[in-house]
Amino acid sequence: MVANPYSNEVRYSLGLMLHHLDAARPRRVRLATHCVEMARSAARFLCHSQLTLEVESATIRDALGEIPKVAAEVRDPQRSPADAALFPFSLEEGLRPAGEPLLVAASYNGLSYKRLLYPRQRRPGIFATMAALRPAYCTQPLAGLYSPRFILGLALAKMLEGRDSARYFAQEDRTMRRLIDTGPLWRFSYIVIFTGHRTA
Amino acid sequence: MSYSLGIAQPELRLSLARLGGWLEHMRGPGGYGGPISHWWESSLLYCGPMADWRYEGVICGYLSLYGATGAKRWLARARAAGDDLVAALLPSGKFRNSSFQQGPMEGGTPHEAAADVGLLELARVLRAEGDPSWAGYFEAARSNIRAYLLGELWSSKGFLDQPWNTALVPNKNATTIEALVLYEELSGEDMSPYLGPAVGVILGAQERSGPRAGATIHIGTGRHRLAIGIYTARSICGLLRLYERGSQDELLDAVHRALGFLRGLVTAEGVYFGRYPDGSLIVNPLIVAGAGDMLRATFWGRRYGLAADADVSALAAMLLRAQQPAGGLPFGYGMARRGGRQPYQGLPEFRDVLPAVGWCDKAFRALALLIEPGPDLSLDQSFQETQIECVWQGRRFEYFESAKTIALTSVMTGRSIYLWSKGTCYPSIYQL
Repeated sequence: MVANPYSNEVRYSLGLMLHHLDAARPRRVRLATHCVEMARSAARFLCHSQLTLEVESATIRDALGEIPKVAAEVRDPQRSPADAALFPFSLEEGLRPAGEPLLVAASYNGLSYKRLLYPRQRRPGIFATMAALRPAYCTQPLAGLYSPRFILGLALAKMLEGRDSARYFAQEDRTMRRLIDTGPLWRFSYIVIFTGHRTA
Repeated sequence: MSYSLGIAQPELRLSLARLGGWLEHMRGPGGYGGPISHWWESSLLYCGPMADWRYEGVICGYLSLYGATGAKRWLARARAAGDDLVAALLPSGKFRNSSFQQGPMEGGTPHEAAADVGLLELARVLRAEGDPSWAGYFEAARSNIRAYLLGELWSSKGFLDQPWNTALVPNKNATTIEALVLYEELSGEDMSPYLGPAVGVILGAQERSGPRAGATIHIGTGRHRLAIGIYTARSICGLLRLYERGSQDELLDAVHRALGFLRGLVTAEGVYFGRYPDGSLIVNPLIVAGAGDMLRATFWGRRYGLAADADVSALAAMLLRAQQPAGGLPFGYGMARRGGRQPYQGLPEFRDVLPAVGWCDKAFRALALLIEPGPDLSLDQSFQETQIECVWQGRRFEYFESAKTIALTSVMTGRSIYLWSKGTCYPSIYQL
């Protein structure tokens, strides 16, 4: 399944990813995606940072060129790796790091409740996704989005929606405040945000 | 001491000077930034500049101060804000990062129309003074109006919520009406084909009887059909702007009904968010800074005898009382029990106390309408820090705002779970 860059799940994921990237203060960042719209979405979160984006194609470079103050160039595999790489739902597309010291990724997790909704969908669990990056990278989960606790809260809100608007809005808000789960339930969240630090 | 509408002018002037000072502290590279609280969702991660409806209030507020005092500094600030918008215009004609609480995306509604209002009001003032730079601001607004408002949002029945969402939201049509009336005035192009259906959206959504009489129903709330005070107020402003273009008594009748609805929401601490379909009050949150739009609508309605001095002074006094030491105004009170029918009691929540530029601009714009012509405001004040005890997820915290940061720190442990440095795009600590 291709991620919809305008969906809530992608917006929230990008916000968290770019927050962590921003903390590392990189100068050159590889934006690892083949999707033009995903690249645009990610670039919006970067707009006022002083950095250069390395992208996967001239099409993406040209699309980002329309955004003022965003500097983008096509990635040159012969050149030294960028300071950091962003993988917005693109590890599952087969894109891989090229030696960047830091990676920040968002990945769908085959171990989440969605597996129950779509049992025939084949998607790797988050542990397999992270393991595929080892031993070159030491991976660390940052948070899970749409954890089981969140989904239960949202289901309760939906049950209340037709009965009592006031209780629905209160429950929905209570649930949304728990959208980002940094506790152990990240393992079973629909989306996992994690970092990888190059080991050698 | 000079009083107008029961409001002490010295107090009002001091408040505006502090609010203007606070706005400039929230300004960084690229424009005004900061975290955002909202009923729908909050943007607490991305805190960078956004070209949304904040510019409507910022520009119009500064223009009002310029008009009242003649001091060029206010015009310079309005122009700087206009320059932010011009720089944020994309080749598509949309404004970069205009979606307010949704985070950095273009195409925000009614945000892009509101940004046009700011640009066109600025262009109007500059043109009247014979300043040729007015054309740059006008052209930016024209690009957006032509490419986005008319090019993508227009349907034969009114302006859509989004090109892919066919909901016709009354207050968004109202803001678009305001932009189009200004555009018509400056361009000479007849906007009648668009204005008629757009006002039809507002009038068609207005309740005519019952406990919500006068409210415009927010169509975007689906089955909940909420009647929301601040959005009804913005609808009023669209109707009045159109009335002043060409008198139609039908519009004043609708404004009269709407102001009656607003009057039932005002309290000394804020305005109720709105009413549910059964007429019961949506008590939480009480809206504070955003109630500036209710003050603007009420003050405008007073010009036509549709609101009393007491209506204006009650709202103005509420806003002045709510101002924080740092100069901003809180979003509201009661977000910890969002949507509740019973008043929330207890410490405010983090989102309540947070002052956002995109809400404070509304208070700034409305209060600036109330000052009487006179000398320039006194600006020789140092920044005062804000400290407020509040809650987050049921735990007690201290909210702190200095000239450089906004922080949320645990009362028990002294550990900060949120720290944003002004002028940056992201908080350096985010553990909410």
